[in-house]
Amino acid sequence: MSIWLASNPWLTVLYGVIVLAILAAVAWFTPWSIALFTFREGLRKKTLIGFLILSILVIFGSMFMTAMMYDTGGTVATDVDVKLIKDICITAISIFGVLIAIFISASVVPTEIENKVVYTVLSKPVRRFQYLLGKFVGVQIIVAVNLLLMGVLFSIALYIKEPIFPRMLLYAIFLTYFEFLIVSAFTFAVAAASTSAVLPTIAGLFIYITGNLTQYLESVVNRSEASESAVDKTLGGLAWVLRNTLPDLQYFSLKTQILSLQINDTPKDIQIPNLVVYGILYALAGYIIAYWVFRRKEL
Amino acid sequence: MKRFPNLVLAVLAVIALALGALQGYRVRNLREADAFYRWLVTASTQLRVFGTITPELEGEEAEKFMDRDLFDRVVAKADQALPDTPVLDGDVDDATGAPYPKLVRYTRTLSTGSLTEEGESGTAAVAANPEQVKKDAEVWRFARSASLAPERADFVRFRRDKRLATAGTQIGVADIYKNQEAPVSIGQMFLGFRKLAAGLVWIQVDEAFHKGEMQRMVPLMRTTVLLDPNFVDAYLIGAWHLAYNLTAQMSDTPGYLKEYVPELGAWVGNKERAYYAAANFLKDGIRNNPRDYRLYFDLGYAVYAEKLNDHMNAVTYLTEATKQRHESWVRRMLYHSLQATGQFEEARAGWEDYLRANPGHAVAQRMIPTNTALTKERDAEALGAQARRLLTQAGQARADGQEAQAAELERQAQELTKQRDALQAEARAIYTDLNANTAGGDEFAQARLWRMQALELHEQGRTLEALALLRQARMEVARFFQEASDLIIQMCIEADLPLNLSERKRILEIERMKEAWTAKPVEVAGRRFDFDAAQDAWRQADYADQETIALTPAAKDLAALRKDRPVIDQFIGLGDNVVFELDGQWYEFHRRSLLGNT
Repeated sequence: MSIWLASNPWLTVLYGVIVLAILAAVAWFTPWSIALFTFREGLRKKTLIGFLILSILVIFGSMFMTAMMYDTGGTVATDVDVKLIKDICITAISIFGVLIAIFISASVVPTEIENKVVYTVLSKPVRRFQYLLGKFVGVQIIVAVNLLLMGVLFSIALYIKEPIFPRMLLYAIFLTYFEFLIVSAFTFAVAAASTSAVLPTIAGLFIYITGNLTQYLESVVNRSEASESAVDKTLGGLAWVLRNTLPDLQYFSLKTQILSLQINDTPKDIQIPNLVVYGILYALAGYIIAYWVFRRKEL
Repeated sequence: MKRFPNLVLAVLAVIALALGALQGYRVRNLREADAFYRWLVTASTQLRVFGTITPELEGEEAEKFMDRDLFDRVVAKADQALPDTPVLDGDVDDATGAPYPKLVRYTRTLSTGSLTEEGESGTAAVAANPEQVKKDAEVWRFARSASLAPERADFVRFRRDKRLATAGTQIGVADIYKNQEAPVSIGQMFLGFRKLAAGLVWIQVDEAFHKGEMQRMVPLMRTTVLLDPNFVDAYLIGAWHLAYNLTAQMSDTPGYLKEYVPELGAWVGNKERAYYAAANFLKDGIRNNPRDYRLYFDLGYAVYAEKLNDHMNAVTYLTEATKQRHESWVRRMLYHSLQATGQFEEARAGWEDYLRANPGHAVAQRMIPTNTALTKERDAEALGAQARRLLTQAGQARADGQEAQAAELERQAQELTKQRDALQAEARAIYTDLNANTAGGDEFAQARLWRMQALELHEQGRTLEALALLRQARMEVARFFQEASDLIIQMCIEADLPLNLSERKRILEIERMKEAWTAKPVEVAGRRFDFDAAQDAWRQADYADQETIALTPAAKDLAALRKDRPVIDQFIGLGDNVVFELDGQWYEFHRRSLLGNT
């Protein structure tokens, strides 16, 4: 059964159909005017610009750091410089990118409720799920544009150091987006239930950290298997459910593997489309929960 | 939807989460298959390179690890599942003479066809071979197949329980074969940023190096690779620090003060300890990154060949480097090491192959005749030795009054001497041509010519002229210095001529070393070895003139024996001449003159 689930080609086709249906539905139902308005609003936020500037500083700062190492004696091989730039930049993109995703996802809906703009919009012939979809898509455009911008700067930093088109970087940035998509969708769900941006922001950070630590649950399950205690067994059962339900953001660590492995030793690229599907399905779950909460909200 | 909106949304949310969870299961399965596939490659490589897929462990430790058991199960299934593949040169296990299992043959030369970036490492590596890419895809398909599901499940379980000694790339458990308590969750400790943490620790290594704080570097280097086992440059530069920079300020330990370490199979002083630490660091790197030729190359060339002058091991690792995607100079260094071990025919064949791939390559054009001449020189020396033995026997026969037999022996000796002279003339002609046709002269060829001339002069009783020639030659050709110095000492002793101060010092050091050896037998693998100063040989204590099989570094038999019974390295590491017994058979090992270590 498990093998059937893991590698059945028909299941792969079914997943493909589901993802295409989701994308088609998003394209069809999204009120693009709301999405574009959200995007424009997002660009004006000082916090986001601050994060973006910080990330740019870190990306170019990485070049100075490695340059200093080289100047101290010239013994560090060029490969180490490039590796350090890659590690620093991908970490900067991950940290600042996820902060941007969390802050923007946490603030778009609560801000509009606070400013009462939501009442004006919902008085128009726009359904709540469409309004929310527009907001969500707008957030994703902001996240994607920021990521793209950071990715371009990263590429330039790499290209200056080693004039080869950094093709691997595209895969890494592409995967990073789907990691952010999951965090952003669940933060959005919390934000839909909230009237202020503070709680969803904290929740978003919590989601990101928890998502990276999901694998710890596996050791809880393993220890409970060895234990005789009923409490341990129950805890183990709960951990098993959470382990298999919560998204595991460590899966996206593939991006660093792609970037840092040697030319003859790269991970199997079949993981990339599977991770894309993984991101989209959890984002769908996040959006449905967001809508479920938002439609019950008294406005 | 309109009647039960909450229920419908709840169901939809659950369905989406369930689909996500199922996809998560599929991704996890893929990741495990990827780790399993890498483990297969790692285990196959280790079997081929180190002769074992697990470190040498004993007792409970050995029973704990399941690598071999699991690997054998996979190998049995691979024989049926993988397509047939021809047995090529190098696909034969030297130890048993049998071809490697199909899985090991398949993983021998793999190239990842996907997600590759040429020149990523700063230099243009040899492009992926389509045939190798196809094989890689087949091994990957096999590793994911339903038929291997039980082995994959066991792999995941063993890995979780830390019962796999073979830590491969991306398995995520670094160094477990040494440190059983290594944290499995080190990756999560840094929320996925451990590679950055490794980079930052590496900066500390660099700082420590520039401050001259060598003692801080080793733990920091180990921390770096624990955080990021795929940081190949850390292994390469770390080993370089250990083998070159750390030892730069150290003085050589005199031979009589060196200690024999059976685990290393060598007499070690301070410098040698650092060299072997570098070798072990690189071997760790190979366990974690079995496909990176640079690790094999640095281990073979930078440490074994250049620092330890151990060309037998250099050949082993450089050969493995050439099986991965590699730079063209890797093969050149392999052929130099083959030459240094006395495998001139193999070196020549390699250079010919290299010249076919790189027409007009100047070094290859020189090395082909060089190895041909070395072959002739070696054969000439063997004939000369044989002729001398016959003459000695003739002398004895004459003394016994067997005139006819003495005459016959002398005739045979003359015949051999003629053949020797012919071979020497051919070798000399080759060296002369080489020297004349190379712009600025060929140093190596010139050194060989001088050596031959000096030996001839010495044989004719013109030792003083021979010594003058060698003394001049060793100054003109730096790499001939050691060989010429040894010849000078040998000739002076034979002709009863006085030695200069440095030569006497060298003799004195050798004598002190021999005295120290004679006074103190060595225990190796539960056997006692005694040193016989007169014969300059280490002998196993219970040797009593039994019949022996002779081994040299160039012998194929030795390569096979070493792989099958790694303990041999501990025996032959004792000295230039060692007599030992293995499985009821006695062997005598002779580390011959290496005829030109380049």
